[in-house]
Amino acid sequence: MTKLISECISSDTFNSGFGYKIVVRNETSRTQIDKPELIAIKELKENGIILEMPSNSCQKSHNLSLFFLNPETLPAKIKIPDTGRYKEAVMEVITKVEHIEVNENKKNTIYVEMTFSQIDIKRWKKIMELYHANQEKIDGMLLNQFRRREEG
Amino acid sequence: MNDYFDPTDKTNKAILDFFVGKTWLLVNSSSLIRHSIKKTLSQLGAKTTHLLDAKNFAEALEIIETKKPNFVISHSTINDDSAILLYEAHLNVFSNRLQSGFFVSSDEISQSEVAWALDYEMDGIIAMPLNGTSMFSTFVKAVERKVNPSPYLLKLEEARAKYLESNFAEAMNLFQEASKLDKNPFESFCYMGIILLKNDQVSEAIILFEESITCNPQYFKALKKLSEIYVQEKNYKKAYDLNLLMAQKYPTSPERIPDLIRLSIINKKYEDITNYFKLFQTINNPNLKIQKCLSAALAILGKYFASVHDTEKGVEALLSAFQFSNGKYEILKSITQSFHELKKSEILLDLFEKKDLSGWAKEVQILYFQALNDASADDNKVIQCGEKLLKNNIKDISIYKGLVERSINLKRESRYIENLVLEANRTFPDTIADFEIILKKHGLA
Repeated sequence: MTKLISECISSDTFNSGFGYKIVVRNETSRTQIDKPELIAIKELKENGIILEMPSNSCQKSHNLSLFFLNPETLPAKIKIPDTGRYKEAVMEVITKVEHIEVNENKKNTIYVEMTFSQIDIKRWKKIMELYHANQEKIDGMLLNQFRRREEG
Repeated sequence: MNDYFDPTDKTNKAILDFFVGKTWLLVNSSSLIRHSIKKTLSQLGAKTTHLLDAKNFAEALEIIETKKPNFVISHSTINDDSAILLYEAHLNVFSNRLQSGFFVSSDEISQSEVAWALDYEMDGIIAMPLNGTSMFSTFVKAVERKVNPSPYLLKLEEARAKYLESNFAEAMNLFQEASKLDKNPFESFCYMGIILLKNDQVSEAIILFEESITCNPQYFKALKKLSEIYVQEKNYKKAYDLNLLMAQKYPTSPERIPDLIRLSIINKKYEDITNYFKLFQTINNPNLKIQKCLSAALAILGKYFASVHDTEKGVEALLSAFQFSNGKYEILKSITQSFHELKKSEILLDLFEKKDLSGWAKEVQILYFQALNDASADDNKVIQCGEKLLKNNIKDISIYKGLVERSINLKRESRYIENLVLEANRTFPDTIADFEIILKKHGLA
């Protein structure tokens, strides 16, 4: 058991969140979004994903390559190649844009729903499990305080 | 079908029945996200006609008032407004939480978000990105304790409802009744403590909070309340020990770090200071919210190092504190004072001069003047700066004092100096004696 409060505080205390960062190459319009801070992952589905992205990133039916990056090893300068794999990415998927919704509460952003057209299902499941484990950890923190009674 | 929850399994019938009878309000700016949550709730048995949605807090508040949904699932912030306002409105409508609940979803689940949900005793916090399996498990786990409540839980919620309605006398009686229905009635003890605090019965309240923690050393609300009271009562040793217990069990919100450092300094836990100092040096690219916490924490460390004359560490901490301050006046004020104590104001002056201060609070200009007056031998430059601030109606006693002293150095006309003193005395009447000392020192009194 620790004796000092500082021993319970780590750099995690100052991390703003959990999860992968994403950069995008739009294969249809030949454009890129190489600033991961502009993209937020909103939902992970079995066969697709919803992202919040800058307006004009894509149109319905566009094909996008999504590159998942580990936030702890983010390169100082992200340079996505014009074609092919991006070697810094821990995972890459190709998607088709199904639906676009304007975000009325955040200027110049849209929600983009897409389905996967090329994906390594096993790796995708692993990523989903990682996020699920994080949610379980959060649930545990909120509910553990009542566990005493169940044990009692 | 979901891996986590099988609606066809008979043992899950009670939970399904619970969901069938409840109305839900989903608050999110995206209809795509609201649609996904609706899908999960429908799979859990909620009727589609019982699923309401709102794209902002104004719409949500109206629905809470008029349609009184049992449960609310809201994004934590929309347009910089906090979901707390919805939570409070929902508590007003549903004071008994057995038939209701509140969940927040959040993009960045940081330690402070969890501490926030714990503090408000919310039913759940949903980390973005959403996914069906996680939502299933979060909703089911959160409502499980509401589905078949024990006699204790029933009485406890009845009491808590009275408490939320501010009917404290009746709430107290009900909490007392509830505490007899369970061998670990930690929530009842805690709420009774809170009611006693409202009547200024501090020592009686402390006993109840301590009993609550004895029953359950994990109960966040009691831990937090007791920690606050120990600090208020200046019982710093107990406050430290309790905060250590909390830090072992729960994530510490970055906003609490400055207070924890103060607690370590008071309790002479100097190893903590070294540990914090080392830790802060490893944090890269903090966001704005974290920068504010870090800056405040580093300013306290700088102040501490200045007090023990450790110039090297003091300057290092203060430099980082300045870097993260983003112009926050209170923090910069402390930084300025510490640099002054360390007799290193020239470093601060250099920092100020490299920054564009125009976007910072006008009071920061006063701190710049103080650093300049402290570090610069150029009387004319100090006078020019001070006069400019007064002209712009930025006034502080330190500006007048600096101007008077520098004017004396430059042997300016006595009428000019007298006018400055008169103006200072008019603006800051309590400081007449200070100027008398300055003038006397220079043989002008």
